[in-house]
Amino acid sequence: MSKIKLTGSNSGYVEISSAADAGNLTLQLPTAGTALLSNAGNVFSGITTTGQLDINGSIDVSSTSVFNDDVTFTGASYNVVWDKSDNQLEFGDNAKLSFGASSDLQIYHNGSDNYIDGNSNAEDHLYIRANVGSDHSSNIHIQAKSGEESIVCRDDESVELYFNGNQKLRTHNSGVIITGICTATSFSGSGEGLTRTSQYAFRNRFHNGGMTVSQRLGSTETTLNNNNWTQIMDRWKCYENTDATITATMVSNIYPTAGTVPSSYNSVRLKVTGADTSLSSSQQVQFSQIIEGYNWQDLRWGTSAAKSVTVSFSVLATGASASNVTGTYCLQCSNAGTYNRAYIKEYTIDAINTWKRVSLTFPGDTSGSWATGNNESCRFSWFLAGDNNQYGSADTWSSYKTSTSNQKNFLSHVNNMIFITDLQVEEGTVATPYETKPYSTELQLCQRYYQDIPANSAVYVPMNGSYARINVLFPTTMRATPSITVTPSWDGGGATIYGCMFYKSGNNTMPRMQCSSEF
Amino acid sequence: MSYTYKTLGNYPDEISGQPMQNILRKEDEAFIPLDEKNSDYQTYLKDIQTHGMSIVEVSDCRNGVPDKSMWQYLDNAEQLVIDKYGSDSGKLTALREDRYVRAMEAKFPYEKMTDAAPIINATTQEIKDKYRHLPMRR
Repeated sequence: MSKIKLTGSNSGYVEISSAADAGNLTLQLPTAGTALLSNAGNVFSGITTTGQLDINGSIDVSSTSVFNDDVTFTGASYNVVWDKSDNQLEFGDNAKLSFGASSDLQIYHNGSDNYIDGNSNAEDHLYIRANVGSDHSSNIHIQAKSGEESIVCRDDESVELYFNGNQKLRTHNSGVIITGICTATSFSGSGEGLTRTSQYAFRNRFHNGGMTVSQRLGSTETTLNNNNWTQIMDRWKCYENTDATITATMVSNIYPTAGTVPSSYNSVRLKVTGADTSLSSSQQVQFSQIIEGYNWQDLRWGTSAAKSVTVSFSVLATGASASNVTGTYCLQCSNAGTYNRAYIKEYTIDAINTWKRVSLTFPGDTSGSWATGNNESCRFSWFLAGDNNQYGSADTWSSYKTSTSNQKNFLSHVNNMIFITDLQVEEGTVATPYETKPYSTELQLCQRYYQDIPANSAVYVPMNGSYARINVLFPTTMRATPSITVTPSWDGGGATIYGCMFYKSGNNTMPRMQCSSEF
Repeated sequence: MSYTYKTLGNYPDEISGQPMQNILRKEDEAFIPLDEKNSDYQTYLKDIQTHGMSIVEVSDCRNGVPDKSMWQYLDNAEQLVIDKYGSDSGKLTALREDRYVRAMEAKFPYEKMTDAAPIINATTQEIKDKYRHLPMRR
């Protein structure tokens, strides 16, 4: 083909011109369609197209470019789109934002999770920074859930760690502040600077919680008095007014060993030897200890500053069948002596022949009268049968109530047995492990309330005339002037909190003296 | 379970000659101190209120002075003083005054008017005049 056809309008003309020194110019046309092509070096300006502009070669733009709609960057497998309507640059799944000569930092979504990957050489670090240009007190917040802090890095201040939105650890210019329990497998350092806000030793305000001291009964099984209190292990006593017969005894060694085995070697066992299947009005059984005012008054009960306490204990129940003993039981806290305030907590025994560790927190009572000094102050009572005339609600301070109506009747079957030990009550809302004390210490604590002075252990003083006299200095100052049972009986005598004196006519053997200032 | 009690007299002179600060619980021969903080003594007071002074055996008015053993509230308390110290003793007057004041003030063991009235009615006018400042018992 060698023809050239030029067409034009009547008023204009078609011009093909060139610079004088342009040399040979070639206009190469395609074999089909209409196109404007040239060899390299042609310059076009002001090109406007109303259809799609296809450029099948590379494009070299030397000035600012404006794209007024979506722009797609097509990858081998994944695309990136500037989405005009969404006002965002959209990376498809697995399309990566990549930085560095060796893709050292990549940010992408793989279809399920999001990644910020550092993929550089060793010792090349990843920095997330605020206040780079200048210090304007900006912080870094990392939130696993929108609006709920997980980690907060504060400018010139602390780093904070949160659990469920609550701060648990905060760095401080003097160290670290931890809110809550710090659990570790080991600590290093001397620990000489450690301090506690609550005591560690002697934190258990119960005496004889491990049932190691039994001056009155030893390990002899005894039947509880009906309609009255019965002192069993030291500092512990039971009350029952039912038609059942119940025995109490100190049991040594743990039986059986299923569940959370107690720390103590001993426990108290309460056993039903005569059942009461249908409790009448006001009938109840409780196992109790009364705490002296000296050992309770620092908790400030009866004031707005009353502190919470936590009771923990180990319990096991057994019987002919599980249904005989499993169910809901109540632990009651009341102001001893006055008995017009009570707080009831429920707990369950849900398996037979299995030790269970129970922890129950009692908020401090901000009202009511709680005695101080050597008076009876606070009583905790474990109920085995509730008084239906004094049912109350759980988890609230109220007037005197014994249990909730959910209280199990433990007396329903003969041979129902309950074992209790490791009883502890301590300040705070956390139950710490049972505090085992040396036997001699526990005995001395109990002797403030009861002392058993064996026969022939006292000093015998012959008197002028026909009388003999014995003087005893108590090894521990007693809570109050004790009642004293002298066996065999002597003619008379008296006591103080420090000691006692008895007399009898003639020469006599030294008696046994049982001294009690128990509540 | 209800207990019975016995008040104890004075120590022998060889010991000290003073009133013993105990009462004896007869069932288990426990010496109970006259101390309000002793739970056995508290039980003793409750037993007296519940069962009356008939559960207390008293053969001696101790030193004749009203005290926490409560011997002074026995029906025959005056006779015990007379037997030991004579009828013209100031101890007898002190006993009558103590009983009258407690009856007028509704104190133990005369909280009930039925218990107080016989004491008030039996009191001499001389003692009543001495304590005329006391409010009328109703």
